[in-house]
Formats: sequence, structure tokens, C-alpha cells
Amino acid sequence: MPLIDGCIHPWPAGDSSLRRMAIEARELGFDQVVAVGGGGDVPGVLRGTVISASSVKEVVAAVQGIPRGSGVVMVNAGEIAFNRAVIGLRGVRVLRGIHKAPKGAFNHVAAREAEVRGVAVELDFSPLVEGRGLSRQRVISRYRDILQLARRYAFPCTIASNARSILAQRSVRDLVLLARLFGMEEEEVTGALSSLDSILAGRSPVQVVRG
Amino acid sequence: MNQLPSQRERRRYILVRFEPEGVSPDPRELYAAVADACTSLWGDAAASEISPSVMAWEGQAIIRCRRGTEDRLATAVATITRVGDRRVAARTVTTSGTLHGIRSRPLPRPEALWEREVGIGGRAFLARGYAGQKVDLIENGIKGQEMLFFADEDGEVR
Repeated sequence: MPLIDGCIHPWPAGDSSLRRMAIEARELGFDQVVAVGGGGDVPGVLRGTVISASSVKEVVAAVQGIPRGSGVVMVNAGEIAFNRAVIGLRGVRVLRGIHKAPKGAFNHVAAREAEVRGVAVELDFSPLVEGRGLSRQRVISRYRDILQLARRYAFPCTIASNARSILAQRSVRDLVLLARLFGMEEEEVTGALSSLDSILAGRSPVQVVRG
Repeated sequence: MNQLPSQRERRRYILVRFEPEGVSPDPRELYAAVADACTSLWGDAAASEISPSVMAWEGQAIIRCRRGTEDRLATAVATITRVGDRRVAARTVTTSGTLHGIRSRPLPRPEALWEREVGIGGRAFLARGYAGQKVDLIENGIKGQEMLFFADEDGEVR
């Protein structure tokens, strides 16, 4: 299964070109990256779109404007009702920015729906790397809660560096070490890094669920 | 007081390389960055248990810690984003139980293969090409030398 960095933001949003970030990602142990923006057709790069909206109507309009099969559609998380509605939308693959959403914005009901719809929750590692003090503690605590729900309800997670520079990209080994901060095991990290591949391929009619 | 070798505390050594290519952090600033990262991530008590010390030269460093704390040190190193005023990325290369073992694995010093002036968005940059199709661009000027990172095939640096 390919290991995929769930989201990067190349030039002009950042200071590194898409090609350079793809080269760096390969050296750091990734097979593919999801890039939001950046030009050119680069091997090992999946295209991604981030939808930031305050209402579900806006998300629906934005999703309808994206041609089907044109990459990974990610929506920034909000309140619990918004998140549940977004998870139910056709075409949405990833709910991102869950650490910035209010507490309780992702509960067991949303977790069950995410599992049924095959929508992944993104774990953004940039606040673990760049954050300090209370802000990082909150993120670790939030991810611990998400991980507990993921273990119980088996919805997919993705891991993203959300790097805007090659200097913000981290190796697979670094991500494994950082994930231990909230109790994520190495197997779970590699599973999360490769989950986008199966999400994009579509759900198999037969599913093996661990008891 | 000198101790017998068998009574000395066991250590681990981590080899770290830095990006951008060719950057050589000042050892004192690097020590401050490592100590700050350890304290911030693990707290004072755990940082004193890790007890990091640093030897740095030309784009690489060996960071020493107590045995059993190397994973915690490597995690803290992954959170380093700045050394002094410079933005850097610290990449852990390998871990060894002896200084001799880690010194036997020197990393090749990245040499610029070519240099030329390029203009991007009305600004002048010095472009340096490295192995692996990497091109680092350093803004010309005295104030705020911004760095950009491109690849050989990018239209902006051709």
C-alpha cells in the first residue's frame, strides 16, 4: 500500500515548488502526496481541493463545481451538525482541521457515519511540529479522542504534514514518533498514511472488520 | 571522579542532517534549539533525563543522549523548525551506541553543481543547483534574504 502525505501546499501558497516537494517526499519515505494548488503534471502527486465554508449549502455548491474524479475533496470541519452533514455528502473524502473545530465537533454519531460513508478524518501534524505549550497540548488531547473513536468505530484517518515548505515536511519515521504523543501505534500510522489509496479506489463489497 | 568504563552511564548518539543544503548551524544555537525542543515537548524533568549535548559541523550534527531516551530525543528533534534566526529542518539519519560507530557513517557534503542569477516575480535570486534535481534560490539583497526551493524542471529556474 502506498504511503501518502494527506495534504501539502506548494508554491505559490508556500515557498517550495510542487516538483521539489514531491522529490523531498520521496526521500522522506512517501510514495505519493496530495497537493492543493501548484502547477504541472508531477508523478506521485494526487490533486486535492480544500473547501472552506460556513454552511452546508456552500459546501454542496462547491462540491458540485468540482468535476468527478478530479482528486481528493477535503472540507474544513466546523460544528457537529455541519460535520455530520458534510460527511453525508457525495464526493467528500476527507474532513480536515478537526483540531481547530469546537470541542465535541466529532462524536460517536459522526464517527459511525464516517465509517459508513468511507470519509476520512485528517490528522494534521503541523501543529504538533510547530505548536508549543497549551496549543500543542490541546491538539494532542483532541487527537487522542479521535484515535479512541477511530479504534472503536473503524472510520479511516489520514495523516497530513500540511507543509508549505520542504522545511516543514517530515519523514515517515518522524511521523511515527510524533504519533506516539497521542498513543497512535506504528501500524495505525502506516494504515492512516495508506488509507487514501483505498478511499479513492472505492469501498470493496466485502469488508473484514476486526472484532 | 573517574569511573570504570563498565560503571559509566550508557549513551546513545543520533546523527542529524540539516536542510536547506549547505546550512551550518552554530553549535551553541543548535544546543539551545535542541534543549528548547526537549523541554517544550517533554517537560523539564524528562529533558534533564534525556540530557542532550551537541556536536555540530557543516550541515550535520551528532546529538548525545542517555540510553533509552533516544526516541524521545528524535521526536523532539523532529519539532525543531528554527536554529537561531534561520529556518531549518533537522532530519534524523541514524542512531548508534558509540561515537566511533556514528563517525564511520559520514554524510557526503552537498556541493552546489551550478549557480546562476534568476528573476522571479520581479525579484532577483541566486539559484544553486544540487544533486537530485534540487535548486535552492536565495534572494539577493541585504534585508530579509528569503529562500525558495524549486527543482531543475520548474519553469521559473530554467
